[in-house]
Amino acid sequence: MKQITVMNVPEKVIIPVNDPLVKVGDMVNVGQKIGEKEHSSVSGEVIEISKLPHPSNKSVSSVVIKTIEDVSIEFHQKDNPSPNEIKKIINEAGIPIELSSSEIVILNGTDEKPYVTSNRAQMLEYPDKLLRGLKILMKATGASRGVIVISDNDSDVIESMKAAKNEKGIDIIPSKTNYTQCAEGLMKSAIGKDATAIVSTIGIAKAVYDAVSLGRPLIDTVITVKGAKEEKNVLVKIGTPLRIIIENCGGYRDEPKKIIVNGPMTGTAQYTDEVPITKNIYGIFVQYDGMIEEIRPCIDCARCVDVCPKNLLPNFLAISADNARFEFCLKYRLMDCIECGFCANVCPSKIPIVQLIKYAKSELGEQECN
Amino acid sequence: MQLIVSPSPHIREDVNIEKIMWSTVITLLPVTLVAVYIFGLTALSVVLLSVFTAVFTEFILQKMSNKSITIKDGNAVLIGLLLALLLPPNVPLWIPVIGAVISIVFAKHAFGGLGHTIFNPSLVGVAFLIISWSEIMSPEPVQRFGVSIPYILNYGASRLVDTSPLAMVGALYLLYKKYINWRIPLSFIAIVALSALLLRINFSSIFTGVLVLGIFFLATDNSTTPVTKIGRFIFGSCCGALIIIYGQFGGYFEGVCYSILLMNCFTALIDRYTVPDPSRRYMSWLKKS
Repeated sequence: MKQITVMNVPEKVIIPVNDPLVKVGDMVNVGQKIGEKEHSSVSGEVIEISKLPHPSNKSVSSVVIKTIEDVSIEFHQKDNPSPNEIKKIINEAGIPIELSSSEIVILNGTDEKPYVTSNRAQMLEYPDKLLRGLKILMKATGASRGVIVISDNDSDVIESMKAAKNEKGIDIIPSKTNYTQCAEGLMKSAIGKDATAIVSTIGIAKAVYDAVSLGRPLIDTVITVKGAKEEKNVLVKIGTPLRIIIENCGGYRDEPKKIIVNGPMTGTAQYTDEVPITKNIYGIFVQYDGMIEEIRPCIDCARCVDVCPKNLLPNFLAISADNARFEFCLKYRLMDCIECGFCANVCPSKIPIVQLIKYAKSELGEQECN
Repeated sequence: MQLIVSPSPHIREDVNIEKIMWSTVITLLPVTLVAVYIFGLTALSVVLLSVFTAVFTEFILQKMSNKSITIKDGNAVLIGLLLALLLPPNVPLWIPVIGAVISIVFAKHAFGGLGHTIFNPSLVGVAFLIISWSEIMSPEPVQRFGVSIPYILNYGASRLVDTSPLAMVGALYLLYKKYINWRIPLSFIAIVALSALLLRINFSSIFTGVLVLGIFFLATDNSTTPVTKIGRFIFGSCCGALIIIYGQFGGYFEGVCYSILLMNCFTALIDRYTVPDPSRRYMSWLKKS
């Protein structure tokens, strides 16, 4: 079965750019630089440069490009680049990863459970490209060991990755489904106990392969679409508005009540479906009526304590934050929280624990500044 | 298009307070039915009066203080039912009424309502009744006509819950659904069984309905027990040890009531001294098991 559907080129793209290198009326090509780290994902005409909605719920200076025609251009790659050249290429291609020299490169192949499947789809679709991307990252950082972490539920993925792997120095580690995308720090400490490690996502490994081996900048990404009429993994151009993607997947089932980018556990609810896909989005979720719940008092059932991967007491953190007793938050190790959202997921009283923890963190951050 | 913007997570497990409370009530129904079967309508009237008074008192209190009415969440029903199960069947009918009022007014709402109770409300009601009317609360056991089967049917029971410890097997479902936590019952049973073996106490005299109710329904009451993982082990073990001590020098019924109430006092203290340290690994084995 084909894992990833390639979406048609959208009629327009919105690309957030801080200092645009183009003006309204300019013609741009696929892969042309339009900002310091941004590239146009389509060929067309720049029709607008203004502040537009961004998935982070802010308005950000963006370039709107109207697609004129679907042209494909040849990209040129550099043969056998040195580590420093690789770093330069990755930076030029606009791939969001910090490359410092380290001993281990970890490729995070776990998906944010339960609904995201974009990593799984990519690992089934092109395991060899991912392995070569990992090799390139190892070369760039000087790492001697590469690790791919895959959820132990996805045994077919583990099999196909093992079949594709032919070099030494790369390990495939099945992980309990406890680790989430946001828990990169956790993964780092679990694998690189005494060594320095960097964590890369599957999408970044593919982009690195594209950039270094094919010379192609990061202009598209694989996302999971759920809650539209068709639910699938699609390859979309960076900057495609959510509305066009959902229309491409059959449209809304009903009047939508909530649109979320990234996983349902840690993602951000959106004000509008006109926001574009950015480089680190891996999923879109649409929710309909009947999903809003009333908040009740905490009954100290300790379900959150049982699921916390960092061994914290989320109930005490939430209550302390709610009462603005931030010194208690610190006592209960607020700063160790990785905001994975497990606690809020199992809470029978539907308390927004993660939001309260984020609030306490921001308040404490401001106190430190003063 | 009107979109709702709210903090993550956007999906949540299908569990809420209503579900937890009502499933607990349902798991207690079999033992109630056995009691009604053995004791007849007197037991039924005790149960109904106790539950009704608890719900009605909560309704009046919340109406008077202009709070939202939460009698539908099942907590008041559960408190009334637990109280009734701990009563002898032939009590005067004002006993369950007074017990339920004390439970709801002084043990639940005086401390701030659901989630803020310090002492188990049902046990506070029972303790109040034992202290005030001790001869009514501890009647001579009457052997009724019928063949008793150990642990399943007890015709010589002196309290509603003592009629059938096995009828509370539904607690296993609550454990499976994680509506009650396994740490307190496990340490509780372990300590009681171990002590019974060491002190050569007859198992059937210890594992009565009251103790099973105590282990699975009273000692696991959420807001009156510790939240830390180690704290819950300590709580369960101490309850078990206290019950044996009470039982050796008094009765096991009082032992269940007072040991759990006594340990409720230590809940905050236990929590304070067992805050887990996320940077240390020695406690992480508890999570994996």
